[in-house]
Order: sequence, then structure tokens, then C-alpha cells
Amino acid sequence: MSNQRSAPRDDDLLLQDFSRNVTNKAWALFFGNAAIVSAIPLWLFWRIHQMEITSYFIHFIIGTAISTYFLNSAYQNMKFILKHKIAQKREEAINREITKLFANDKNANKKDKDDRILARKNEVADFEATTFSIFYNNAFYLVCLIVLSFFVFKNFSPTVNYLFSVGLSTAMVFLFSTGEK
Amino acid sequence: MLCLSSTIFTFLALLAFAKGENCESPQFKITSYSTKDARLTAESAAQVEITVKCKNGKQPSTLYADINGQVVPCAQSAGSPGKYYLGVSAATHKQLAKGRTSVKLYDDDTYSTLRKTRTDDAAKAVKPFGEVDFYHPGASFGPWLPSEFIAVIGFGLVWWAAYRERSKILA
Repeated sequence: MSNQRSAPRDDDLLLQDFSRNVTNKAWALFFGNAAIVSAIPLWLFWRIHQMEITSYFIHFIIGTAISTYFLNSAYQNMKFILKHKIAQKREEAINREITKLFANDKNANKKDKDDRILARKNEVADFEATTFSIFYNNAFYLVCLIVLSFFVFKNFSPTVNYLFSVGLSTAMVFLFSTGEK
Repeated sequence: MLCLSSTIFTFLALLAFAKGENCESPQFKITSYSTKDARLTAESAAQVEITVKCKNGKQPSTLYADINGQVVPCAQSAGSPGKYYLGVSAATHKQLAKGRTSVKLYDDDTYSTLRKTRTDDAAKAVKPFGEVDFYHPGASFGPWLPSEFIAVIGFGLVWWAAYRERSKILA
């Protein structure tokens, strides 16, 4: 009976661990961050490159929407790749933590302890992978954007500058988010 | 006798009238603007607005300013009585001295006294109508490194630290 009850729970944990799907909370976090980071260059192009919002709002909306979508995807891709590696690296520390927790509990069995370790490992790896993915992709995106906008496309018209800077930065971040090295 | 007394009386009346025409106890207020950007400009200029307030309500008909040894008349605006404008220009940024520059002001009487002097010492001895200071902060060429370069270096360092951390995780 207990085996049947715990099996679906094990499956859920394993599915969650190896799945590319993110929870609603993580998705909202990714989407919110992607939207904010995609909107940051608008201030730059408005104030430095003198692109008036009233004249270029269509470009800005399209650029921000595309950038948000691909940044969101980049966050998810990188999170998936990092999660397993982080889980492996944190395994020892989590084992120690849970063992210490269960040291005084005589009623606990090995199965409960393993479940607890797996859940905790999943939780820690998920959180760390999420935050690191956001941090790394944001840093990479902003470096690419500044280099492209102020050095490569410096002498082009503001429209071309904006569309190519944002487009290429987004494309590079998305492309490199799938890499494992 | 009557003729002499009336002449003396007329002279004294004219004297009193002339004294009443002059500005008494003037107070000055200065607003100035000068060239601040040396990168996009070749010459420096300054515009000084001098507001004169007199105790008896009279304004000098003309105000003269001694700037860098040259005495020039100040411009006036018909719509703003009591305000006098002085323009200064310099062929290079260094010629317009940075910091406080003292400007001596002369009204008609003091200016005519100044014009009558024959030596520099005598000219220096003439008491001016007033003296004001205007401040020029200096023209700047801006930061040595462009701001976008500093931004790239800053963000680049952050990304580099993140990249190293990611490489450690994926190793």
C-alpha cells in the first residue's frame, strides 16, 4: 500500500526534475524579468539616440515583444541545463543537511529520508538555476546590446540601430542559452 | 542784487535737481551664463545680466562696465528697466578666465570722471559706481573616457564573472 502511494510521488518528482516545463511561479518570474530587461534599452534609445517615443512606438513595441519572448526562452533553456549540474554539485551538502535533520528522528525510514533529499535537491537546484539563468542572460544581453548599439551600429540611423542591436542581442542570448559549454 | 540772487537760486535749484537724478546707494544682482562645453565649441563667451536697484528709485541712464581693462557700455532692454546686459567673448577657452572676475561699473558721472584722467594711477583712483563679480566655472572637455566605454567595461566584467561561474557549474 505504501509503495503504491509513494510511487506516483516519486514519478512526480522525477518528472519535475527532468522536465523542461517550469512552474507558473517560475514562468511569471522569467516573463517579468524578460519584460523589464527588454524595456531597459527603450530609455537608452529615447534619451541618447533621440528616438521619440511618439514617433517610434511601433518599433519599440515590436522590439520589446520579440526580445521578451526570446529572453524568456533563453532563461528556460539555461535553467534546464544548469539545474542538473547544480543538483549534482549540491547533493553532498543536501545529504548532510537532511541526515542531520533526521539524526534524532528514530521513526523515520530510509524511504522518507530519500524522498526528502530528492525534494530538497530539486528545490535548491531549481532556485539556484533560475536565479543564475536570469543573472547570466541579463548580463550577456546588456553587454551585447551596448557593444552593438554604441560601437557596431553607431553610424547607422536610429531605427536600424535599434532593430539590429536588439534583434542581434536577443538572437545571441537565445543561441548561446542552449549551449552546454 | 535781485538778478544776482535769482541766478544763485537757479544754480542751487539746478544742483539739487541734478543730485536727485543720480542713483543713490545702488544694490546689484548678477545672473550670468558662460560657455561650459569645450569639446563642441572653439570659443568661449559669457553673458552677464546686472540688475541695479537704487534707494531713490532712479536708474542710471547708461551703465559702463570695466571688463579686463576695457570699458564698454552695457546694453539695456526697454521692457526691463533696471537690467543691464554685458557680453564677453574670447577667441580661446583659456582667454576667458576661470573663477571669479571683478567688473567695475560706472554711471555717466563716474564714467566722465574716468575719461578725464590722464594716467593709469589717476584712473585707478576714480571711485566706480559699483563693483560686481561674475563666476565662470570653466569650459570642460568632458570625461577622458567616453561613457559607453566605461559602461561596456563595467557590464563586461559582470558578464565575465558570470561566465566563469557558469563554466565552473558546467564543468
